[in-house]
Amino acid sequence: MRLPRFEYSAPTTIDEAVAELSEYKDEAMIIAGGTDVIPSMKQRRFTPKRLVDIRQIRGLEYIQSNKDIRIGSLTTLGFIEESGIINQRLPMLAKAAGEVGAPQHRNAGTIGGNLCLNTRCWYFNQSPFFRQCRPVCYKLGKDDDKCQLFPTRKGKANVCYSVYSGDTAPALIALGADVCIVGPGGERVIALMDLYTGDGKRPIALGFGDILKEVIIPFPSPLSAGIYLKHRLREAIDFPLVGVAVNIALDPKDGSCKQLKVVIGAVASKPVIVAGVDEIVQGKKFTDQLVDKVSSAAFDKARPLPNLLGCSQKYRKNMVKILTKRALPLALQKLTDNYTK
Amino acid sequence: MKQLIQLKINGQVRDVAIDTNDTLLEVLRENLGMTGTKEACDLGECGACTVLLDGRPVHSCLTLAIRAQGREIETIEGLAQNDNLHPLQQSFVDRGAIQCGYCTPGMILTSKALLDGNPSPTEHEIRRAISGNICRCTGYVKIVEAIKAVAEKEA
Repeated sequence: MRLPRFEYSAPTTIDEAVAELSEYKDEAMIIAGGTDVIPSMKQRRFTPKRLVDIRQIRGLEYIQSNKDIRIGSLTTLGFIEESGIINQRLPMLAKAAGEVGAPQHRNAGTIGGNLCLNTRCWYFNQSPFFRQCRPVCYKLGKDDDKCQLFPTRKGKANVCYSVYSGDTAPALIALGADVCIVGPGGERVIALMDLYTGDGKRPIALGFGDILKEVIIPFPSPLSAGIYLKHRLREAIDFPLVGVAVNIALDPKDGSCKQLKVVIGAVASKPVIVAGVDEIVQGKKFTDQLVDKVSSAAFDKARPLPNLLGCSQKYRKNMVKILTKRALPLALQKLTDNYTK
Repeated sequence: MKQLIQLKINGQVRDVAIDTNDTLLEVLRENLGMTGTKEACDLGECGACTVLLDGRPVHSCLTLAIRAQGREIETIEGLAQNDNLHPLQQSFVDRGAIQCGYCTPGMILTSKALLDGNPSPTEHEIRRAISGNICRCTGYVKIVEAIKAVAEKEA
């Protein structure tokens, strides 16, 4: 299917891009790798008047390691997957980047684009042919259009339940990453988790003129290890049905658990941090019972809805528990491997 | 309004008149008549439209032609030297790794990019490299064998 017509511009500096995006407001869209925007435009989910190509901006493609690790937002996922520094210092991120889509997507797609991925839903991500005989959903339409997952639900404000399906975000949140955003008001640094509104209609907390500039990841403590497990229909190409990232830090004195982060992807309109796992594990050594407790906590926290094709919501909820149960021993194994090395 | 751009395809600079909303795939097939690059899903899910951009496989259906300026584009037409097929092409023919042939250009370009960077890949690496190319005849076993044969011959 042909792309709709649009004006194309390729600013070469961030300031120019910010000025242009602030001028055109909702009539402009950013294109970086294009692997998410182009299919959406082909299927007429978006028909922006102007497409602002930020790929021509110089100096946003880098991986730096000084006081912390900084990744420029235009760095491709394929580059991160193969990067020596990332594989050595943040193997969980290298793995998560390598799980995105297919190699072709990773060669074009950028880390910034993956973090700002639009939310998905089986009703929303359809062709014009599918949509032409059905009502417009809340995410695609106006504020008084109904969410078509629950069209008869009454008395409640309209909510969009589409799913955030990024792979790198859960891993980066588990690693405690921040993001730097440049906008009309200058630069600001926010926690990555705050980039996500949780509102399926407007999932990314970027205003008009805002551009994600870099991702800042603190060095993980030497006695820590993380892992990201992705569950999907096929081993490649697909978005996750569920993704689980865990990051464990141990106390060097007695090997008890100092910190644990569990982040679930693809179960809500934003990545979900499983709160309270720290209290379950702090100061204790990992046993099978403890792993069970943590995975039950993750299971309780995950509330997937029937918005993805391929399996039931119940199955996805159960897979959260199973993936957490698999991830924790794997992360611990990695820790002991690193320690004995 | 059409605009004139230059694309470097298989080492040759070509002038093409394009619209901003033309994808690289459309320009290759329709403006230049290079129909070796296939169009199938047109949404970046099947890999049939794979071309190499600066040596790395990408979906040409998701690449705006205007953004491919100044980059090295390699298509299946650029592989054979006169009448001599590229070793990968020959190996695909010899081992029956072609059935309907629709995924073949993408498969060969993806595996060429793999072998250029890693001359002796394991079977797992081969399978991972071609994981974005779907063969609906499901002839994957012979495709993997064909790639492996080239890797072994060159090693």
